[in-house]
Amino acid sequence: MKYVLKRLASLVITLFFISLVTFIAFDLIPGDSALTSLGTNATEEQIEKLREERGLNDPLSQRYLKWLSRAVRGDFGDSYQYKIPVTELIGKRAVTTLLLALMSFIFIYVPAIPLGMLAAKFTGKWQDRISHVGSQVIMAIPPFFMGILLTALFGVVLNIFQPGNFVFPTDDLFKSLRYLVLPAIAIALPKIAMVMKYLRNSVLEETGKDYIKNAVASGSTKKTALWRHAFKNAMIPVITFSTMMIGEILSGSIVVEQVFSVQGIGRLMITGISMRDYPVITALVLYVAAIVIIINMLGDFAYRLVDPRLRRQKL
Amino acid sequence: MKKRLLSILLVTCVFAAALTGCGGGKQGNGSGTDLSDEQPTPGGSVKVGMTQDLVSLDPHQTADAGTRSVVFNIYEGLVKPTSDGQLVPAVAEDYKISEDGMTYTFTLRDGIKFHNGDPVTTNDIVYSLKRYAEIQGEGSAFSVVEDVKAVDDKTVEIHLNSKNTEFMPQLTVAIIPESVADIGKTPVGTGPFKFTAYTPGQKLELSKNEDYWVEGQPYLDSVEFSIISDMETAFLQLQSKTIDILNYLTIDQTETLKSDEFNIVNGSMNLVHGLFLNNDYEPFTKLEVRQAVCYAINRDEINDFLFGGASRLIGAPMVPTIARFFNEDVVDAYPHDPHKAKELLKEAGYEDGFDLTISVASSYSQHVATAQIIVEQLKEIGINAKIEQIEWSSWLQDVYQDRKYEATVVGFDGTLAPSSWLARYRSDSSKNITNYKSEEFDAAFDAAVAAPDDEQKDEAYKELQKIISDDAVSAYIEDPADFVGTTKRVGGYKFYPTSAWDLSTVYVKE
Repeated sequence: MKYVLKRLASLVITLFFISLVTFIAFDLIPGDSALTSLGTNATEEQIEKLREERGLNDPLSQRYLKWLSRAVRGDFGDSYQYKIPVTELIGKRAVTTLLLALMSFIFIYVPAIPLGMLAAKFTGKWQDRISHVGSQVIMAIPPFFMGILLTALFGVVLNIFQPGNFVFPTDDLFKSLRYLVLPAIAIALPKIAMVMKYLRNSVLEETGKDYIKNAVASGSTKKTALWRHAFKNAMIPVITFSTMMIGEILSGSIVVEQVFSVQGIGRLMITGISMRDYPVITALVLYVAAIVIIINMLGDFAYRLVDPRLRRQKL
Repeated sequence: MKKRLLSILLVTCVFAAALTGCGGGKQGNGSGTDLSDEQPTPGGSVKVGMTQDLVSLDPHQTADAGTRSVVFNIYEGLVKPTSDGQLVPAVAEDYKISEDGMTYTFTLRDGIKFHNGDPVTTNDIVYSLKRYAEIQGEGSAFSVVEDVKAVDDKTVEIHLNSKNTEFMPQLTVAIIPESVADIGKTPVGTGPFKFTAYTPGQKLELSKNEDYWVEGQPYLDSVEFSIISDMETAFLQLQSKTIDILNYLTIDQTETLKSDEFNIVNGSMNLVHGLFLNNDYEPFTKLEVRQAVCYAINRDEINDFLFGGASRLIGAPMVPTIARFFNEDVVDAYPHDPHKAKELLKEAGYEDGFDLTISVASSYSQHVATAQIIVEQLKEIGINAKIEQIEWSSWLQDVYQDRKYEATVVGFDGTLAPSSWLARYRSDSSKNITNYKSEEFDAAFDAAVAAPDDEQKDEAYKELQKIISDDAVSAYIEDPADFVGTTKRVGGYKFYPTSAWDLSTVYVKE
């Protein structure tokens, strides 16, 4: 319990610093949000008026304190571009990204774990070699290109996928799920290969250790030794890798969302930055930071689940 | 250097040839789908793709060309532009301009209604014009308005504080109901389509205005503008027919589309596209250097390479579609002539050339591609140019507003008022990106705006373009061709000389 509280306190402090850094960073980079909104046809006065309206003429410290006092109450302001509350804008898209992430996980782990174990079992044999070459090839294809390939294949050639017909899960869950299958595959494919390789190498490392030899020597079958004993220990590096990966997917698979026109966190981030929509960007940076920290926390709990030694450790 | 460019061109030509080979030739359908023997039928819906999001649905906030093109379907002014650049009465039925040109009297169209069912009143007109004037501020072209008043429930008078023969195009400003408080969130106008819903970053849905004042129009029951941020993705969606219309295709893309399934309509982007020079930057302070740059640039090469030769070349900041004011004589003032360019550089004391940075907004692939060709062309005369790609927001601040740049490739748009294309070259203009300063130009500009009759006005504007061309303010290249891809079932797409994607004439053949 104390451990959890400690972690939560550090989360809050980290977020506070991140928000400060975000404010300063966007103050330093070139680009004026009023000018960006109005473009090259606006009059000087119009730009100045909008700047005043958005409070951009106030000093940085004043702007930050104003933002902070509202943010602690859960009010992140309205988006400059869309003129609706940032929380509403992000909420709807976070659900999309969450769903996309969940589907990707299923697509990653369902094939990757058995394949990884299989590759480990058949080390050096043709099965292992094929999976090695296959995973190298898949890993080498960047997700955006995979996305374009998949859309071209399923959308233009086979005509069973309608690119661009995205529906928010909050509007129609079933349609949304159906649309997200291909994007989830585009995210999953290279990751399957990675998880598989991680698992294979780590299982191989474990099977070389004395406790496995001992288990086999004292009558355990090779299969039990592999699944009961080696698998659990081999999962630790996989969990480490997975926490990094999950954080990455949940913070918005920017490229895949862009290619498939999925309305998720990643796409909102891109438009937010290019339009200099400060309320949106600040809230998004915090969201992403919070996700990464929380997932890492969960990862730590997961270690303790598979490794009893960590459970006994004093905190 | 020349070899390298040549080989690029050669490879592209071979590639293009291969593509046309597969695509089955496109030459036949260049002029459009606007076949008059077809009878438009009412009903159906289309999806239009666009790669940028809408900036604001409030018509009085000056927005970018893309947003204006879309809201053209929702809002109308007292007058509205036609596809051939004329102004016709819209919310007004008729108008009169007083002898002294200071008073404009408009008569409200009989029975015209807003989308919410309320009749348009003269109070709404007064409200709209006053609101627009206030948002635009004193520096705008609308500041010539002294007063707007409703004379009775059919008549509105606009009084100007000085004579301005170019005031009319300003009156395309949207008429909106006074009763709607937040027009940006709940758009209500008098245009052919009604606002239905807007999902930020995703789509804008419109439906037919049953009470539209043009008999029989619009044909479509509903329209969706689908926002697809990535051009490649948008093109895939056109190919899979998720969307029906997509603007700004590249020449390669037009050749990929199968001619039995898609039409290519070919118009112009209405942009003054060019290599803009900072006239305050050291070598460009000299006229000879600017002229040398103009001579060095081979506009035909750019046009062939990027647009298959379909763009119209320009020599000054005015587009050919504004035909009345376009000065044909300056188009070829600086033909491609590297020898002359070198001589001019020598005269100016830059015999060995100089280094140059061309700043380009990276999100506009057309600008980037143009800059790449220009870099090669400038090398021929010894100017060692390099491209600096920056984000659009940074471009707006550093290049456009602060004018901290050497040269940039960009396109500027304008309205039906000829002054809108040239106003940014006045010495005191806040939009004078080139830092051009010429008393001769300023005086001629004021005279052109004030010119009392058509003939003098045409001459005056042509003269202005001549001054800019003589001073080689920048290297003007072309008004880029706009290739619009549509599915075969769609007809009636029209181009406008201003920012407008008019869907009131579009129909579905089914």
